[in-house]
Amino acid sequence: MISVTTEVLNILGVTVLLTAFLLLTESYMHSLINLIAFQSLLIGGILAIIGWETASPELIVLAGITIAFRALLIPWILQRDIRKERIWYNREVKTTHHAIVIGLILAVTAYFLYVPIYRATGDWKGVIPFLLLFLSMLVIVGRRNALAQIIGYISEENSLLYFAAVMTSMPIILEFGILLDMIAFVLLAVILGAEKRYGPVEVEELVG
Amino acid sequence: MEVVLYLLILPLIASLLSLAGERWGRALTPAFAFATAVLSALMLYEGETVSTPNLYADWYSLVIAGIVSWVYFFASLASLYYTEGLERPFFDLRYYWSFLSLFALTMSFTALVSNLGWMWIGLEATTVVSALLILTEGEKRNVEGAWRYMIVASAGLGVAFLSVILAYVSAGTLDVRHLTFTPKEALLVSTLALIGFGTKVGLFPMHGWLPDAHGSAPSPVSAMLSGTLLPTALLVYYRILSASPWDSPAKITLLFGVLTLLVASFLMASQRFVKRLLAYSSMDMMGVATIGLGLAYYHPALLKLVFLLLAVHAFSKGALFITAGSVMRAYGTHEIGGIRGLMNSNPMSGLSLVLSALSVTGSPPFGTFIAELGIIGVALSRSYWWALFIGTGLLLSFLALNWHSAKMAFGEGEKRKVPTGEGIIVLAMTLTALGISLYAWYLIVTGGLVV
Repeated sequence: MISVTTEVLNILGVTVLLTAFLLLTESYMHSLINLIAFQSLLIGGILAIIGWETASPELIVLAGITIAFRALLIPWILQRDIRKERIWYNREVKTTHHAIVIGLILAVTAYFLYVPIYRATGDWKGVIPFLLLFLSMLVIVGRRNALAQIIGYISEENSLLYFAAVMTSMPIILEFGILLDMIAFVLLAVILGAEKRYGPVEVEELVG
Repeated sequence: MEVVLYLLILPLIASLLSLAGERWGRALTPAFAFATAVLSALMLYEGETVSTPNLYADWYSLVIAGIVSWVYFFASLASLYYTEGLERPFFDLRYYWSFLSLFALTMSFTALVSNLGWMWIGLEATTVVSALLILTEGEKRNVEGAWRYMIVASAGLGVAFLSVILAYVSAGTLDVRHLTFTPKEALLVSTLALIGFGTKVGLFPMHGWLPDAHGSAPSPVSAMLSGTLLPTALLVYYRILSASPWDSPAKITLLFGVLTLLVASFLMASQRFVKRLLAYSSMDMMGVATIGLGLAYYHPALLKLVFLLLAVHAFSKGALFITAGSVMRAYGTHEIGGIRGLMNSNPMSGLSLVLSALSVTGSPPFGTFIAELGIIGVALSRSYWWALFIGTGLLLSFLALNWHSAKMAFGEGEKRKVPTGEGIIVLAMTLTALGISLYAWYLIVTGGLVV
């Protein structure tokens, strides 16, 4: 018998996967940012539920940090940044053609790649974050735009913390989460710093 | 308090004090770095080991911490010259000094902690700090290099994070002293770790960030990136590999190592830019070291030789990068073709360039030669094919790097002066590599090091 919590977690997990597919195909900057904020909110919810179930205060704090930083603060900074320049707001950012098809193929491949992990651990719970990890990497690889790559990075970070939380009660997960957030901030600072220096950079050029 | 903690505390103090102003950084960082370096050498000499709940330092960790501290010292000296020539840095230069110490701190931290999770955190922290250091010059290519580095390295470390989680699921602990896996778990965890941590080591095919980052970083930082950061990441992988004493992880390690060696040695011959050439040479050496780790499963005595190789490589490659930086500044070009007759105009830099290039390609009497001989020997005892591939890679990289370095060192060219102090620094680094090598020969002759 599956408990209500597991049911809720599964629904949230599937929704997270859907947001990952949307991240692949969305071509407007501001909706990309809204999407990642929504995804982080879901991940925060998942972490909080697991933390509540396993009575682990670390996870609940991590959920709070996730929502504060990745669902609110970073999206806010990004939105403010793209609003400064009119060419950014509502601007289309290129996405690879057929990204959704590649994403589907990748998801199926990742599903099979999970089999060795299942054999070693006897646990299917990690499969959604595992798929999410691959899709986030595809966002990073497929997008040529630096801001979109930051969003891919945040999605990857979400998948890692999600994986850690469902697979096991890791001891130092909170520290991991904080460090990953710090890196996201440094990434942001690099791009914003470069913008200040070169004017509104066509960040696409940054990946050579 | 454990003495080994000072290897972390001294750089931390240097990093904090440097924030007070650039002058403080210039005055204090080399002094603190020297104290750290001497301490690490003393610990190695005394043969100390540390094992407390949070720290674990055996001979291997101390070798890595030792080269981190020494290269940090030399890099801080070279930075005295480097920072003078900067016109429009990305941030105030006191941050440069602070980050330099912080970079050394994060690497030593990674080498000395006992917990695999903290090692991962330490490595991620090195990414942040070194990416910021790459930005120092603030030109567009620096931003590109740093950006690519951060994105690729953090994606790779994401996979490494999976391996850390699975290590915890399988072994129930993250303490490297108590990690044990069943064959199935070992293969899974070590393959993921090889991909993940291997990104940071610069293994093929995850090496994309390496030439960009090394090429666009300030030269003292390139020296630290190449000489010490890559071995630190390799040490973390070694910890996982040593908990998986089975045949299949060793074979996969060997395969990745051979591929890296071959690809890097092919790419080396066709390089136009000095620092990119050196970056591929680092990748090449890390390939050799990875092969060594894989083969050490069949012949455990090889392990010490691999760490000898890493130590000699750290000093020689550090010297090469710092020479490259000063020469590039003097000649105003990044290209190999633009530099000629270094031996005539700057004898110390020229000599260091030629000797270090010989050293990192494994020529006698350098310690890298002993290690490569050992690796080929063990490979021969396993299969002729492995030995053939490894031998081809080594030969190609030897020809490529020494051909390029000879082109720069000999012949007639413009007489542009490199500051004498920089010449002394790089020559001292090369001689340190030579000293370590001669000591290794001495140990082999007297039976202290078994080949």
